[in-house]
Amino acid sequence: MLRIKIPTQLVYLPDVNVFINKALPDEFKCISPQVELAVEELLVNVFSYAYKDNMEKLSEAEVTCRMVDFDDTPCFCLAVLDWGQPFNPFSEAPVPDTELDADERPIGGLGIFLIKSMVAHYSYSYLNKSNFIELYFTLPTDSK
Amino acid sequence: MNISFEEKDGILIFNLEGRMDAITVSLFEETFRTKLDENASKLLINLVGLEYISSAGLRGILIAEKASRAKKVTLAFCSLQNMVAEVFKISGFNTILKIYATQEDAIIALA
Repeated sequence: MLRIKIPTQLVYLPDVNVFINKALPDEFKCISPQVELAVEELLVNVFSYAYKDNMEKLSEAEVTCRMVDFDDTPCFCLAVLDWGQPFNPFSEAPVPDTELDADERPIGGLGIFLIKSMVAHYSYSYLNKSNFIELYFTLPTDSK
Repeated sequence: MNISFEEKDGILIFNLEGRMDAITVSLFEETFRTKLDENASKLLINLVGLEYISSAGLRGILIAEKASRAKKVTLAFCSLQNMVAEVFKISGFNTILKIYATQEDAIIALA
């Protein structure tokens, strides 16, 4: 399993993207933008909210990557770990109404919705005082 | 992200290149606001060189659309690449924005 740990600052996002693109097997490189989007959305949430009520904690996030056979389908599994306050973005982030016109649309709130649309599976657990999110990416049907 | 400009048939065209993410979106927002304040009446954002957009980028696009409508300025987009088109479609932006396949199509429509 490949692993990178970063301070919770936006400036480290490009390092994570480099890490992901090294970790992606050749046959999964075609979904690199979708994986980069997912990790950006998760990390920006962590950077913005996870540690804001407890600045004494060491503000770090960890990203790991591995290949997994999920129900016999090869998946690229991306995990994000932080040690901030418990937060399950999949159940707590409001679902946006994507049929509203621009005038009626609130600014923001699309990140988790985009992730859910792009992954085959997602999971959240609060484990050993850390938020642990796993995303499972499969290849698009036309590239298999 | 790089932003360059050209003007054709009274339309100010933004050419965006690279990535519009949480780090770079502020450059787009500031640049767009400046150009909108210069009283252009028709704006076209050419996305042929934009390879990546996240929800932070969508926020910048929505702010630009809302600001343009408030000033009664016509704003359109063209030449979306695969990943950007996918993100626009998932988020429903393809139905709330004026989007054209090519710059030529957009110029004809805005003329």
